[in-house]
Amino acid sequence: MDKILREDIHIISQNSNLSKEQMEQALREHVYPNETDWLKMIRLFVLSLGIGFSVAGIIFFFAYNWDDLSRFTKIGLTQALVIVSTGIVLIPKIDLLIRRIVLTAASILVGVLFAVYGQIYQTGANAYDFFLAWTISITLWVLVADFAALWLLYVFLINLTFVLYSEQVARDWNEDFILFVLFLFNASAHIAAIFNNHRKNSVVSPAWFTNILALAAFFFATNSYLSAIDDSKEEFNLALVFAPLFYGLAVWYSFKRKTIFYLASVAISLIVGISATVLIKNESSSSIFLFLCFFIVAAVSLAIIFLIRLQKEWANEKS
Amino acid sequence: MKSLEQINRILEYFKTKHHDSLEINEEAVLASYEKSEGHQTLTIKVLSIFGGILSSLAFVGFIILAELYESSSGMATLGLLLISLALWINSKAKSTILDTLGISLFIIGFICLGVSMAIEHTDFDTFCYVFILLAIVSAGIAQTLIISFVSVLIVSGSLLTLIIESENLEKMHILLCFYAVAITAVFVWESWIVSASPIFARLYKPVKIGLIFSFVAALFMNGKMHWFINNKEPIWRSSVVFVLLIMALVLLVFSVFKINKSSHKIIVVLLLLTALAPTVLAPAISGCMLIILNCFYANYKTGFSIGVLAFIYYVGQYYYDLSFTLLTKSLMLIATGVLFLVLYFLLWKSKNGQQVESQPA
Repeated sequence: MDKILREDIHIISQNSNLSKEQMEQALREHVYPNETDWLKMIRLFVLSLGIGFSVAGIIFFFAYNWDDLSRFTKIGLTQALVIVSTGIVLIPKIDLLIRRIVLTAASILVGVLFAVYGQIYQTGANAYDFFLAWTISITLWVLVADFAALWLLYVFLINLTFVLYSEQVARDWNEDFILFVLFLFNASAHIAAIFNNHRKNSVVSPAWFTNILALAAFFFATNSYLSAIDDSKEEFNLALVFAPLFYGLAVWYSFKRKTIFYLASVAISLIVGISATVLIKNESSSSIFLFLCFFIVAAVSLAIIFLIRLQKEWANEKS
Repeated sequence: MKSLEQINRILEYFKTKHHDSLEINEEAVLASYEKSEGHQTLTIKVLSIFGGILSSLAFVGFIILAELYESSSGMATLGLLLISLALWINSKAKSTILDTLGISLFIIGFICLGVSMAIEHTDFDTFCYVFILLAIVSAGIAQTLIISFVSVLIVSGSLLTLIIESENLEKMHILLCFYAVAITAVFVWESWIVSASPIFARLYKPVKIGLIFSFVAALFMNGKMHWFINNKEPIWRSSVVFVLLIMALVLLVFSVFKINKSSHKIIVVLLLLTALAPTVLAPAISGCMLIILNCFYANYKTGFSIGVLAFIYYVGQYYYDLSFTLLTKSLMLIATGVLFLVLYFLLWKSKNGQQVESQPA
């Protein structure tokens, strides 16, 4: 028997003589959480509050005592936090999920440690040095933990390190190149995550993780294109080759896995790209804006028609 | 997306459960599934809203460049026409496909109306009342997910604007209490509301999510108003209502845990009151807890996520705004954190204790 959802109960209720008591009973049996669900939620909520408040308290404590502490105490305390949290991760009796969450917290504390070190010794390092050191230091933990939230932090740090490097060191890099590299990196990370999901005996990444990576790739691909259509630029933008390849892969994967997420993302990206092209290549006039208004409505409507039809076909195939 | 076989299995299940006494209009059920299918996924909803917002921006660009804003009567007429057209499309077409067009026209219509009233230097209160009236009527006529949701946001935005403009904190507390009671009623009386009338059933989803967004926004503005307005209005008034509603929900949850003994109930209520007492001075925190509890009670994941994110923000904001030294704040936070961790380990031990007891000897 398929899982009965809230919408099923609502539809049945609106088109039958189902009483409100019967509807309430159906909701309790099939939709509302039971005792186990409540206990799980309460435990997770209480644990999150406990860790969250404690970590915040520690950060505030450091902020207060900062000027009065000696440099050895400052670094020692931060190192102790990192060591203790890593120690907790090594205790096998503790639930695996909790150990992964603690390792994520430890990874954040590594960043705090480097920030403290940089502040004490006034190393004069660029911000990118800090983020690069942070990224490299937690690499092994990221590989060992294989935890989506930690991977997301890692990918974010790599993106940030690269952007800061381009702003602070490689100032001669043009915008097209920077956007292309960011697109390439995020697209590769996304493809790697998808490949990993299909490997035997590997931990499957949650959908939210792969979707965020895909959105990042689409975002940078769209920005690359918008940068490329600027008339004044003479260099060829490599994104104009690789982005369509990625879009093609995304469409293929959508059909293979029967998910509309990638198709919708491609649609949004294309609509933004075409709208921007029309605006940039023509003088801004009222008629252009009116045309764009109708174009966007028509394009989005067609995309929705197509996606709904696909969803129906796939739903019928599954049954 | 449900196939015909899946829908038939669901129908069969309900008929069997109610020993065939249940009379179902199967054609109407299939038609409802057909209509609702396009709204099922978040992706389609996001695409619709994205299209609506982007096309509205393009239309605003058209209005500015064509200098149409110079005629207030022209803008008002255009605005009313577009809103009417949006409602007509939604009511006549009965198709999910034209949602994007409907939403775009709806938003643009309100923008045109707003611009025309701004040109005429209309009194601010009148401006808001017109918007509220139009939005309520529109929600009642359209009865579709996104237009009704946007209408709820327009109503709540207008109410907030009226209160901020009047700098009347008492009205803000009344509004917050209204949202809290409305949200609790909407979640707890779901079956009553949905089965009461088809109109209520159609408006249930958009009003539910609209109320949550409106409540979070009102909590935010309440905090800001207390900060900027030098007023002796106590901040805790709405918190008392929130805490009472949380207690009421907890009493409902007792039935899930089959806690029947009065002594147990009293102990749990007293413990919770003690835990919630510090949040009385921070209505945003108790407000978010009310959202989280309501959404979990009814298994509404979207609202639950919004509640959790808002809770994290408001707790951070609260501690940031406290006029204590950083040392005092840090000790308060650590003490609170340790209390929760102790509670977690007590709960964890009791879970393991129950698992050991339930295992065969």
